[in-house]
Amino acid sequence: MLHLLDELRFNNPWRDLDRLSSEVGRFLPRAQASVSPYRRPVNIFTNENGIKVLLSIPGWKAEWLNLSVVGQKLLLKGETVAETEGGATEKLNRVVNLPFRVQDDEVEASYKNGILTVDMVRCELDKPKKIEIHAA
Amino acid sequence: MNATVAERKESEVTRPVPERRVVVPEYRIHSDDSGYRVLAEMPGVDQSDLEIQLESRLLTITGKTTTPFFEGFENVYNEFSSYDYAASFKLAEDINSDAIEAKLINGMLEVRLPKAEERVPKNIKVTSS
Repeated sequence: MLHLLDELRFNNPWRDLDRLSSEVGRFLPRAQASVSPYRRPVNIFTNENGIKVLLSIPGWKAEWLNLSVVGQKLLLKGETVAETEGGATEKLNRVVNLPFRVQDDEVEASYKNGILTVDMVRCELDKPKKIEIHAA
Repeated sequence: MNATVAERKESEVTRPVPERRVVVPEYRIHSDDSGYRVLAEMPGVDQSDLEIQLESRLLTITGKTTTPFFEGFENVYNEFSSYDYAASFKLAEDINSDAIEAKLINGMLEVRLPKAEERVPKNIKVTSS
């Protein structure tokens, strides 16, 4: 019978031994952040009028996040506050290139259940304008 | 039964419904003199979709999520999927099962497992008559 070990970290080599003692999860895959090198992954949804960016970042607080739109980029930044003095902190620094410019005064962001959702509206000036063709 | 595979109608062939992928959440365990603390990342799990069960010193945690869907939007880029989470831990003998506490805040589950109070050894005074 195995018991909980001290001070395990995320990439802890003993984790596989924990799996041997569990009924559920014995053959289950580990949750993976993503195939990308970024620790905190994003998903993107778009239509011709807007874009939604979802960032999976559980365990944070909204006040630790610093979001901004610069040109055609969404900047996702932030830093956690350590629980204890001198404790480890995590930093976030991601840039999402947007397919079009967005109205920077109409960006809405919400953080629920560890998922940050950033809702952006396409800039009016950046929307395609149909050009009428007149017959000669 | 005379029907062969070739004669089976398309409508009779049932396709399995793709099941939601169940994974073990990323977790870490801290310990100090008072007990253990399990921190598990379960993004997308609401408190109403979280279950924690304890049976015969086996602690089982399950959490369900729903795939986000935005009407009229196309999912053009994905770095993470929506999973259901499951994990179980066999608890050590020194944990007080009655005092286990759990809280889920912003997708991070924290389970506190206090150690049972140890019996303090008593010194027995020897008197000589």
